[in-house]
Amino acid sequence: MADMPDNDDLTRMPPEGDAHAELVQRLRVLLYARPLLQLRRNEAHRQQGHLAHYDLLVIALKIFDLVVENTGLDEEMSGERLLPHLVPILKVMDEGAGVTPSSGRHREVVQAVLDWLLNERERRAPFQEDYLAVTSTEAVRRTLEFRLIDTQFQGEDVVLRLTDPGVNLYLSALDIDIESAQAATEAVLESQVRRGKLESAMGTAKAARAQSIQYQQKIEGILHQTTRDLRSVDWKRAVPDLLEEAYEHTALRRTTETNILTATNERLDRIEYGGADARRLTDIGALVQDCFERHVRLQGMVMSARGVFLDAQEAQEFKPRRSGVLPNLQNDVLIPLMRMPAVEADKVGVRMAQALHGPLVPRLFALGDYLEWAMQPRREVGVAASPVVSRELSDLSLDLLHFPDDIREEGDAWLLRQREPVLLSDLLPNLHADGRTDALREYVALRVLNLYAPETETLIPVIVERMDERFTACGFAGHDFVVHSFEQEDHA
Amino acid sequence: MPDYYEAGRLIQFGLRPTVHPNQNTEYRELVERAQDDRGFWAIVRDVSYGMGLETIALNRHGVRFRPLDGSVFAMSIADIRDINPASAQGADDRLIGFLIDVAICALIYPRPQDLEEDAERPRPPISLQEVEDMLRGLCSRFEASFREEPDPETHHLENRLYDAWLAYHRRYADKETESGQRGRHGTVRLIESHLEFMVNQGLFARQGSRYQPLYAYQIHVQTGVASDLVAIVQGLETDEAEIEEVV
Repeated sequence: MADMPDNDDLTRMPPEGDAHAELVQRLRVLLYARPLLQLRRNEAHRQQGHLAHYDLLVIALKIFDLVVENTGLDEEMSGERLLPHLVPILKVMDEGAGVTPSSGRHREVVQAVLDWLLNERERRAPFQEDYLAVTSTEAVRRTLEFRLIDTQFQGEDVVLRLTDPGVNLYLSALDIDIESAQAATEAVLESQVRRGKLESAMGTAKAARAQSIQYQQKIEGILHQTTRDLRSVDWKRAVPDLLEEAYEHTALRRTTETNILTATNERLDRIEYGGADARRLTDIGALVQDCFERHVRLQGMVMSARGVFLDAQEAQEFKPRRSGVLPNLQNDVLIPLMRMPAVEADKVGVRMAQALHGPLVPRLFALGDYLEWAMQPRREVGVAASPVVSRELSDLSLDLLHFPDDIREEGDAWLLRQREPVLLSDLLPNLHADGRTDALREYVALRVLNLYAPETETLIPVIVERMDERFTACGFAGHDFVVHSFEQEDHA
Repeated sequence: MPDYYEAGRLIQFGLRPTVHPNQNTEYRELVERAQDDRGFWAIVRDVSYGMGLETIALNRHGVRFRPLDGSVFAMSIADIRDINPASAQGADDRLIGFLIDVAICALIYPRPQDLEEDAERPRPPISLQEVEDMLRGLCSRFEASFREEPDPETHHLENRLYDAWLAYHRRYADKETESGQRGRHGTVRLIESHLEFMVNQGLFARQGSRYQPLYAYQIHVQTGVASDLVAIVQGLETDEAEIEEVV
């Protein structure tokens, strides 16, 4: 969930028109980058010699990249899924320092960076940066609180999301409001596509998608905040103005995105089919289409936003019941409970357990079910009661298999041997260099695709993750994949 | 009649701890109906209230309830015994369990302002050892002042008038049995039982050796349980003070 621009934060800003307002704003912008710069100077990292050759800042920005790329997809990026995507750049850093790649070390460095970005040291509390806010009349020391990466529930999984400051850092656009940044990016993108600057356009299209996600989070954040605590959002003036602006903004974005898609298709018609430019244009088109669909959904959400406010008014009872002062659970509850006489703590504890555990459904006695269970004949459990007769097994499948068993076994064994993460683009040339047959290479390539999105139950303990980069090798082309056998973890 | 039937279905889904609207089309449709149709939602709330359940949330995570005082859905002594049947024979076992429940909550919400955070934002996962360290650390603090006190009177021990922390302090943390298993009565094993019980209740998810609090746990604690706990403790302290005054 994106961090909300809470009212307190806004009132901390110098009044508009103050000579020093811009100075304070720029100071705050700089402070957002401080946790990342601290990461680079991290003392603990320096002391741990075996991680010293990794550039933590690069890893952090790559994590930002992966989180943005996966936001809004069915399966968003989680802490556990980061590693395979980071392996290629970690290997490059290993090779640059003459160090043998190690999956254990890779896991350690990725976890260290993620822990830092989530501020695990402070149990995920926001980062706090002190600064001196100078206005025309006073100088006050203030504290800026913010998160760069946040977590959110996706079912029972916990996924990563960039916050507003996180996305702005990622897009190098900390001092520009998101609406202006989005308009500028899409204008640049349209110009780049029309002029055929496709390599630059690809990066711009990714930025446009990230900004559309950020903008969506901003609007969703306001609506979510409304349902959480109606009083924290100004529905008299600020929000209606913002929604009206949002409606116009999304309408404008859709027009621009339609223009970009038209320009993309026109250029696609003029160039050679299947070439590198065609692939780039297709990818740009997909990114812009994603922005377009996001804005269509957002516009619908904005149009029905008034209902959110009315529903929230109706459902006031869902607001957390807040006492005047929030308790410190250790000092105000646990310690007094531990200092009580045991006999009293026992009585109090029952009420606490009832409060902490939520509803438990009592099991009811059903006479019919009980009688049925009681009347069942007793099962004989004899060792030799049912002798197992060995049978001749035969393959009853009517499907003709393209690859014979020996190719399948050899290909699976090859994949299982990949104890360190390896790219498919490296694996195929390795097979070729090893003198393996074309059929085996074809099987391995198809098997990797099958393991990425399995349709049958013939699975082997190999993790396959899709990369953003594309490759062309040994007659194969398309998205690259990281392949990693986890048989070794079982042994460990 | 169909409204009441569907209200009953929605309440039933809300009471199934591990069912999520994402996994069940009927549940998702009922949640959407309750969000859109205020008349239907009023029926759900009234019926559940009559059953002894207060509604605390209705959103993409489903419908969430809290048992009212004296509700048939409130945890009973028998339920507490079920958390770890092998070790819940003595009164001290149960008391240690209560300390563990509160310590888990205090570990997940170390600062008062954490209780005010959005319940949609997952709190960091916890481990068995972190809960154990927290309780042992507090016991060590109390022990320092306890050493200077005279030996407890015999009737204090018989009537369990010793401090509750001593029950935890005297219990071993972990002991390996002859078969290589974790001892049933050790505090680490008890912490594990409590967390596993909450996993089965859909309040936590296991993540390797750590336990991730889920939305169901977070919304439950953040919508009033924390202040209820303080009220329970303070209520008793007030009573004690009154008794002392009378004496």
